[in-house]
Amino acid sequence: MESDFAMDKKSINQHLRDSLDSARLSDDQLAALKSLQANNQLQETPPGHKVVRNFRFPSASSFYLNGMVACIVFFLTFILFAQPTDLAEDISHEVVSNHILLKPLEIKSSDMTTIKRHLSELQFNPIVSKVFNGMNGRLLGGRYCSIKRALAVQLRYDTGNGKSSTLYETSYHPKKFSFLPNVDKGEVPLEHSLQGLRVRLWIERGLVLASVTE
Amino acid sequence: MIASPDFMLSDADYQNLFKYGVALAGNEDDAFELLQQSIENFIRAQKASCDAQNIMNPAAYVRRSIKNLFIDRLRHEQKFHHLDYDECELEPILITEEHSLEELLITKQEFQSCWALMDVDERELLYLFAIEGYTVQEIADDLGMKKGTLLSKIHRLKARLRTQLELSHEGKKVV
Repeated sequence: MESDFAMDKKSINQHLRDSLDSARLSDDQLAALKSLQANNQLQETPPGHKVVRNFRFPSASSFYLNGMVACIVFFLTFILFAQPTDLAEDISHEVVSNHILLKPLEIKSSDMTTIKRHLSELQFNPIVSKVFNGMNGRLLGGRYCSIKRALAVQLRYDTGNGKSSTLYETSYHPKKFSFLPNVDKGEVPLEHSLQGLRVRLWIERGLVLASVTE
Repeated sequence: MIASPDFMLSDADYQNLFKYGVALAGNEDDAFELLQQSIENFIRAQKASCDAQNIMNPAAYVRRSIKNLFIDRLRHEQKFHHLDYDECELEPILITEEHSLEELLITKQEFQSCWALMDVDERELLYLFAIEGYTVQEIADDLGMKKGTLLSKIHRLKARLRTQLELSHEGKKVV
């Protein structure tokens, strides 16, 4: 018995190798991940980025002048416009990706109070949005997600004809989200299309909201 | 933008990253979710063209993203405690520490109880040793730390494992 026990002893590295030996992605999981990467990489890069990446000085003779002008224009553009736009695009990509993936709901209920009670880890009180209310369908439930690494809730709605829409809510951080329009001050939500979906971003009752509709 | 084939992960990359996720999270469901979110992060970073240096090595980028996401989850669950080894009072490290983890022989049961008590950095360290086959220098380069710091980490890990094993042999509960 003692010798059998001793024979079972291996290095910690070998134990780890043994325990991870059977851990493999299934064919379906592998295909899903490869498709995710392939499909997203073939999409157009936002125009703002393309301009910066493809920028070349036109000629050596005007190197300094063109360089200075380019730098000034670039930094002014960056300071005035690029940061919020990039962040809005990042958030939009994040919520669209969440919408498309349709991950399982953690709580299935059409009752907002039930959803709030179940998602007790949220550090804010999810609201019934006045802005989103006009376009929503039947509330299906909610799940935890994140927006720019901040804990958020995804609320999913059935809008009929096999279509769905999702609403995301997260805490408002002035440093991150102050560029977003505040509907409580009469401002209009940012709106654009991404991957065939309509995305809207806004601040309402002290929360950051994003909606994705088909 | 048409992606360069160099930026595409191979099947082997996906499988290794999945194993890495399992090593950290301890189960395949969480590992898959971490990997999926990390691929999304990678795509976003690639589109934004930020962090270009890291994106040159997609597998490393995704691995780092898996770790960060996992730490975020632990923080959310308030289970993450970071120890800065540079600030520790380091004990003298022998050069043999580099291979010392291979010398520590334990049973499967002991491995499982030790593994459950290891933190994220320790699990990553062992993963890089055992699965990726990295040397200490390669791991130090990969994690952006000094070789001496890494050796001290190994030394402390081994000492802690020995203590845990002694306590478990004595029948005491390891906290």
